Amino acid sequence: MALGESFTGVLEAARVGAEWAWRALYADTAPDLLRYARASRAPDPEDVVGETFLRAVGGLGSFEGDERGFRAWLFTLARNRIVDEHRKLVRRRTEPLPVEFLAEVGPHADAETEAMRALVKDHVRSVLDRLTPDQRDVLLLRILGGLTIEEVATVVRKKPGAVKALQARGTAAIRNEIELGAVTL
Amino acid sequence: MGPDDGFERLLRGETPKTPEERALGLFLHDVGGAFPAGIPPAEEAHLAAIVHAAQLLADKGEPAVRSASKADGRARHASGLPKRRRVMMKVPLMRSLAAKVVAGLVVLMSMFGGLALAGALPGQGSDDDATDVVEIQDVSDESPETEAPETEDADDQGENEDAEDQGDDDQGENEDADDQGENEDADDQGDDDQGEED
Repeated sequence: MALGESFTGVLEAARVGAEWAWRALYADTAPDLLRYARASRAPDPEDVVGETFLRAVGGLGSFEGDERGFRAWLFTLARNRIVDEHRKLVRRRTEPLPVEFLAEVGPHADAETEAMRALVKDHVRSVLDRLTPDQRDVLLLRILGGLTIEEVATVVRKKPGAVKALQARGTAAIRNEIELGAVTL
Repeated sequence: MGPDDGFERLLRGETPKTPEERALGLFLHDVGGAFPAGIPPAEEAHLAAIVHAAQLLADKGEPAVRSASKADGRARHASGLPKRRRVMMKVPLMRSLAAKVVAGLVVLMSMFGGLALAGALPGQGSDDDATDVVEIQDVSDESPETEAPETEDADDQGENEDAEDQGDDDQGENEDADDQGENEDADDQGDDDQGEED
């Protein structure tokens, strides 16, 4: 939480269209939204971030809450967008190449580091793919989004008790995979 | 101690206590490494669109910040539902399809009823002609059927043969007196005249 006590002033300035305020909100939240969108296999994660903020502009007049509430609200908008994108994919029956894949194709570091990163990512994906969509959603929102149980419950529109249960089953499944050596590098 | 306490501790950044937690902590670290946080490459394009949209909304005159007080009451929107629609919404009965059908039938029946009364319906001309014929027959045939009741009245008076009674009765019934004239009963007529003189 980079904004802290200044959040209220930033939010008021954003409501009247102040560019500096939107820059501050974007810098604070966009990186986590982007990694959440990538981990959720959004077809175009960057587009999800942009659309999320555009929706936030339109709905900011009705938003009431603090910085954590604002963050949870943005994740709700992002998740809705990702769900919509996945539904469109099912209807189209074609899967466009993710933009992040193109970015990963080019070399960023030495070959050994790139190979290790790819391995880690493949293992993480293989473990996450064994979870149910709800379990994966809850764990990603907690790990990458930094949201609490109650905030995740708001985002996924479930009761906190249900979110706790999903988290417990998800972590149990991950532990099981770890014991089996599925993610042992 | 719940089964997820270790997970919660790891999320808070605390040191894992058991080998199991340590393995889970490594996985969480791997998740963070696989999907690193970073500024989106399209940051400037995003911000330009966001700020443009926000300023458009601010300039449009729609206040993003609304007054919490409703002391003045909510202003009525200039644009609202069409009047007919507003009426339909206010009258729950009109929402039902059956009610709409019945209302339509009532309107149709009253419309055709009015036309029928005014004689404007097609095919009503022949009835009028028939009525005219009947009227002509009344004149030419001296309408025996229609005058039959009057004749009966006259007969009754004749059968009565009571001059005083008849005279009393006819004082209030001048039309009967005329009919009696047609009846060609000289005695009755004389009595009637006496009655009128009284």
